[in-house]
Amino acid sequence: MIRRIARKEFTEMTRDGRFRAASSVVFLLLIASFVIGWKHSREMRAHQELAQRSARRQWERQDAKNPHSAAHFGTYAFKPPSPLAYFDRGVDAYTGVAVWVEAHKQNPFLFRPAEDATGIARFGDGAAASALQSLIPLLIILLSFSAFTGEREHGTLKQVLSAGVRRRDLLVGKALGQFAALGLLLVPATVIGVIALSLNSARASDYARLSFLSAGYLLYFAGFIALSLACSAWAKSSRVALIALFAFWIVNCLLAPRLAADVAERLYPAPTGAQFWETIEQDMKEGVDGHNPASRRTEELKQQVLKQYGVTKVEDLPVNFAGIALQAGEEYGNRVFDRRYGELWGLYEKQNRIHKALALVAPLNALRQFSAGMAGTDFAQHRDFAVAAENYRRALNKMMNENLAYNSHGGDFEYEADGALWKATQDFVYTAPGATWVLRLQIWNCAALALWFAVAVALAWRAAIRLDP
Amino acid sequence: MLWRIITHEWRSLRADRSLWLLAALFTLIIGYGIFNGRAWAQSRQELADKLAPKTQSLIEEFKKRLAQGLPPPPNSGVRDLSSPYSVSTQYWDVLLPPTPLAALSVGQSDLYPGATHARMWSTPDKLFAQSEPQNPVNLQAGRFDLTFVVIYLFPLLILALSYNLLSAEKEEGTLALLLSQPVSLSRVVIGKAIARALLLTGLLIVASLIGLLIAGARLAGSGEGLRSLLWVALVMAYGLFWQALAVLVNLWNRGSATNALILAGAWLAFVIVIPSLVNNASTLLYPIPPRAELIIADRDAEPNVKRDGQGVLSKFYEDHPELRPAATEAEVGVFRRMLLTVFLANQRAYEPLARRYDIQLQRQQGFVDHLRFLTPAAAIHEPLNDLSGAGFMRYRHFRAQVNGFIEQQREFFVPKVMRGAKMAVADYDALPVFHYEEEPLAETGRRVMKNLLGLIIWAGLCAAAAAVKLRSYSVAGPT
Repeated sequence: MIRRIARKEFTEMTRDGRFRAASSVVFLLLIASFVIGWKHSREMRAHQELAQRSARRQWERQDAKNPHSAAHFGTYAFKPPSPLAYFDRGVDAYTGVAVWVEAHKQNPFLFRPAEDATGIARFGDGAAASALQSLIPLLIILLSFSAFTGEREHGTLKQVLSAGVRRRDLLVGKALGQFAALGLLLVPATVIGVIALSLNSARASDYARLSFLSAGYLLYFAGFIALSLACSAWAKSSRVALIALFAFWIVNCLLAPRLAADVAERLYPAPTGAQFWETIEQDMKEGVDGHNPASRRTEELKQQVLKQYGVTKVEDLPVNFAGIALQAGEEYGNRVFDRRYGELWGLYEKQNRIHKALALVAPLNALRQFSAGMAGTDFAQHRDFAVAAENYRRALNKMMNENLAYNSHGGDFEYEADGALWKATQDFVYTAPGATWVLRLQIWNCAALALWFAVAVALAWRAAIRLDP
Repeated sequence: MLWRIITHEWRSLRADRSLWLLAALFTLIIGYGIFNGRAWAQSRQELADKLAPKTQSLIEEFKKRLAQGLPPPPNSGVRDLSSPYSVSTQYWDVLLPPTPLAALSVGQSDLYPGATHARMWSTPDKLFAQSEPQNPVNLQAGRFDLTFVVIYLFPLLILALSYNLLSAEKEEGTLALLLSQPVSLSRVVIGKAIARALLLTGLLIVASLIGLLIAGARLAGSGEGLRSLLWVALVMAYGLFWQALAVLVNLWNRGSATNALILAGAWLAFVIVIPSLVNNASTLLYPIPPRAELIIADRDAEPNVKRDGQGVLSKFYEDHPELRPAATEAEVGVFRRMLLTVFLANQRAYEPLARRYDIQLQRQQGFVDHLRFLTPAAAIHEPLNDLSGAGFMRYRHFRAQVNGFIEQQREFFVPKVMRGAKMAVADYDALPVFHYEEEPLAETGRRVMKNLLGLIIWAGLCAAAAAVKLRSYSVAGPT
């Protein structure tokens, strides 16, 4: 019986002119965003990889110079786009593309793509994920709002129920039929997505990410089907059902993300750039300044090193005190950066928690974060890259400073290292985290999506059982 | 007769309880949007107020300490108040203060920094390349400000009240009766449309103006009066477009339910789909060259310049013999001058690279400026931001002024450093200070008027199409 109802629903839907028109438009939009997204992320990946190789070449080809000068020249870490970035751009447009790895400073990232775009980019990034998150629910609403109310208004509901069909069978049948109709649209889109991913030289974990992504979106869509059917069963007329569902769509897709952003910013205001850097500068002044021999702590360090080597003058040291002081300064600075960046990123975490809290009311918040997480374009993964670049910076600086300290002696201002040292350093290589790493961070969002689905199904069940012909 | 129709419409709308609820909800939403905009503007104003006196008081402090032979203040980066090289390393605040109407829109001001610091040694573009510590998740989500309410939610309100403008009367059967009276269909339609337009646009404008006044925005005064007027005109034109569209769809004679669906689809297309298509098209046709290229090219130029450092310095003294120092200099002085020369040469090498990006971005902006007339939502978006001072063009204007300030600093310090001169107290009075000069209102007004014209054309097209459809509208027959 359920199968028969499902088949009838499917046939009716696919013959509906509105369904055909709407789903063709949505499909074309999806294809367009896939193609554009894929082209863009492929080009971006090529440019970033080329730039990373060029940066390494520039580093290796430096002239002979003081290792600390080389550390000041530094190198760059270019963030490669995730293989799934074609699907969901996430926050990539709002995080910089490269970071300068140099001595003394953990620099902010440079060149956010959103700043190079025009104001119209704030309307939405036009990625496939946005279309799936906003347009498919609308399509579902369009198709399902008159599932029960339409039958009631045409008089067929009375007939069907008087024929002895159970209300719950009617509900499940309709749900399955509509899910199958939606599948006509989603299955080709998923296939194209898989092909696009395979052309992006993806690893096994990327395919795992894609399957988690699909599961998340399926939960989201299934919840919408259930909610639409619930509304349709509960409402007195098609008009009321449509208004209620449309209102929910407005709240979910339009209002909730912005409300979350406002409340988050008000509860946990982010510092301005000026404030952030001023705080760091203040912290640094308390510490060891490798360039300023007059600072108190440098003096203390000098005395300590002199005593360690049993000499009275810096010029008599068998090691270069400059190198030691510089490394001490670096290590102090690193502690400062760990603390202040940690605070800033912790603040972002608290703000994101507001987004997650609102996910209980608006499932889009949960899906957005989940989708960006799985696609590799959320803030957590940007942070992972930033930390990797920072660790590389610290290792590089340490190598330079130690080379200066232990390969020359006190008072030697002419010491220079050459290409041998530059080439001896490690190249910066970044491996993105795997799917399970992301999944662990997304537990809350998964739970919110599952809850959304469960609540929607419960509502649909209750409304259908009490269905009044 | 027209007025009688309008008042009758108001009376019948007033009787509908659900519309009161809708109006109350909408007013609340407007209030919330203004509240958010004000909170944002206030935080920026507080920052501007805090930073504004810093520059002058720091200069006074420098002058005082130099005159009395005291060491420099500990909170500045300067080590020697009489050395122009040392003083040139001091960062100066450059501020883009919020306009009095900033509560209208957060716009692009969360993306672009309104307060930063610059000095002679800053590289103009790199200065702005650093990301501000704003949470990217919030940036992606966007803000709930009055501009959002106007662009996204105001059309929905209009469509909610106007989707069954004519079709409801026809379905109830009262339209034929109405038109048997000595009144024409066009008068009825116009009367109904005007009644709703006045009500809803009036609600938005009055609620917004009251909200802004409560929020402490200054609406009168030199530029603000004109800006407020332009804002009202934009909102009216936008509302007029959606009203005309609703009328047009009604005149298609399809029934209320179909009208609702068509108008919802139109809203979706104009407000959500087409803007993102325009964005995609603009990035496809005018892609910005990858910034990674810029970084690598800049660094490729750098080592060459450093290697020729000594040669560049000699050439500089050849070109500027009047700046060659009179006596033999300490090694430190020579090193500093070499550093400065190398830096300036590096800047000159960087300029054409950065300009290439700027030109491409301007091309993209120009393309979008034309394509934005494909949808009224995009056409109204930029001017609304412009009027509140949170737009792209104002930020460009600010950047240009900051670049000019950096140039002024160089003109002030470079000759002094190259000559090996010392800073006197009188020199501090001549120190360039940054003060943001607002773009002439005529410029902003011109841009806004262009978009306003576009909106009026859109409204006009819909009205003209409606007039054509009116002639073939069958009152009594089937839909």
